[in-house]
Amino acid sequence: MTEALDSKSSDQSASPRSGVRWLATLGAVPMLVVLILPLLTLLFRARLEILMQSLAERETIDAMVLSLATSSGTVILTMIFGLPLAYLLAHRLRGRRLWEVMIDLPTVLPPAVAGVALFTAFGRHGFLGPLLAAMGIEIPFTPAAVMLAQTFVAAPYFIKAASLGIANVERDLIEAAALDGASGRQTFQHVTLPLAWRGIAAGAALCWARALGEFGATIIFAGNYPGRTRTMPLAVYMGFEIDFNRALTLAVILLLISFTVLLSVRMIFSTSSQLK
Amino acid sequence: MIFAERRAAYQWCMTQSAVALDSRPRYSGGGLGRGFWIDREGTEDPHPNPPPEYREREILSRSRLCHAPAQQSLRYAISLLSLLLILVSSVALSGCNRSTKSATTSNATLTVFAAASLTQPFTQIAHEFESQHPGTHVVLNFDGSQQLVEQLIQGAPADVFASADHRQMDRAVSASLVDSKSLTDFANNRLIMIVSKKNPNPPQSLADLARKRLRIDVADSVVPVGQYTLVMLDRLAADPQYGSSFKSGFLNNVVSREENVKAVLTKVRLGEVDAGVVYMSDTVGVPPQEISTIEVPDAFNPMASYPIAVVSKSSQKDLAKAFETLVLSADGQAILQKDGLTSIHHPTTHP
Repeated sequence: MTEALDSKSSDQSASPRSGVRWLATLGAVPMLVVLILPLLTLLFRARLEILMQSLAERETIDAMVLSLATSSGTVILTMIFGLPLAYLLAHRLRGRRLWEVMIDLPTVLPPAVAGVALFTAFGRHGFLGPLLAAMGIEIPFTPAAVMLAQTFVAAPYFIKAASLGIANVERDLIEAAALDGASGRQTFQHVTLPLAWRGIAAGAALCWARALGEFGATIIFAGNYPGRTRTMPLAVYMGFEIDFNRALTLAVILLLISFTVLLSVRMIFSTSSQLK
Repeated sequence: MIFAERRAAYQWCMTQSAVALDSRPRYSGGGLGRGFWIDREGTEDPHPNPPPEYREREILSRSRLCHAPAQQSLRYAISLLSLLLILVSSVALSGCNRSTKSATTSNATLTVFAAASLTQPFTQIAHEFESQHPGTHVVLNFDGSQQLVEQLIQGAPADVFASADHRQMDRAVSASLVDSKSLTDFANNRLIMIVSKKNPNPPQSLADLARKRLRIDVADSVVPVGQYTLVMLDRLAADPQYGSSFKSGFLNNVVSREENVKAVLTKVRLGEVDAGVVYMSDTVGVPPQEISTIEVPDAFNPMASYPIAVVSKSSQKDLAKAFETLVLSADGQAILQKDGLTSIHHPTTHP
């Protein structure tokens, strides 16, 4: 079992032959220009004094706190409820391809449509509306609605990555564990989960990033109320209506937060996977 | 044989690998009877029987009816065909589109930037303009006035700019984006409260809007209609009949501040909020079974005046001026009135 593990990791870390590597570096430049240059130019357009000034404003702080709280909540809930689904999708499931496409759909839906779709399901006059109202729950225009909107568009990223991670765990290892007398739960806990951890962690990071940037479904389903449902992306958009520079600085703040959190998520998860 | 390539690649990898990872021979899977055993030296086992677990897996995957090569290629063919169909039809459609467009854009294109609340009347006025100026094509860009000014600042090409308020037009004037000589008001718009008919116990009067447990949607104060809403609330608060408690009660019920007025309308129509503040013109064409309206009396109603101007960078100012003239003409004013706006010639009449 350890041999198989070693061989897998050494395959992954093997660097491509120098010629190919040189070519790949050359070929990667256009893509890097498209992906990185706009972010760098955005950073350089922002002015430090406006940045500091916006950072001290109550509205900015409210939006930052709300964004961080809701997106973190979304990721935690998605990990709890998304993992079972990812597990199902990684194994033989009747009509698996259809399920996979269905789960991908929220990510391609135009944002406004996503918001209205959430209304039709969870709104006051939505499918579950009367049931929720009977329990005294009203979701739209609350922070819970923000999280629901984020989950709707961001969870598919987690589910896809996590199910890929689980599906890539070699069957031989699971069978070996079973032969050695491990129960299904033990196998999942000690074999599947640690080996699929990379995929799960990458999915969580993607999901978090997407949730943090969620705009369209939020502004429709959760509304746009300072301190309650106005997240950073909404604040950036509203900033445009007042002053271009203000919107720019808010965008830079959003960018810096995302960078910090994504990097730390990567670092935490990669060290923990090494320990295992 | 299809599997020769795979076999060769596998063989090559095995012989190339410098480190002995596993000295045991390995089994390369495939369909039943297509797999093979191979060891580090690249020699094949003469008995190509798969290990038992492979047999099991093969039987499972066979049961899914997708492993037989013939069926697989059929699958690929079908999906490839459908993709091709989508591609071809989209190309064909875009081609059609272009040909119809090129037929109408033989002479000139006039680009009009107009506030979102002008969508209906300006579409009709544009048709009118096109029939009066054969060969001219009018391109309309509707958005929140503040967005349009932002687009003009960023260099978007336009010939005419029609704003929903003076604040945004003033921004355009001070940035010399429009000719201030051509600047004139062309219509007024009233504020009106809309109430969803989907909810039980709907508010019946303005005073009802301050009662508890009501959801009200308004436009944000950065949008003109949001500014007017605040002015309306201030005027109501100054009146002893309503007072400041009305204003605070109303604001407590506000659940969202939209970035455009159409979002307010949508949420009221869906019944997700109980009431909203919109322009009179927004209610035109909304089925009466969806919403009811509460009038805002003249004394409290900040009449929104709509200014229009020719964009300074326009390369066809005569044509742009002609469009402005049409908007101000009796024909243009009639269209605006039909769509819920108030003509500048009769500023106080209710439509």
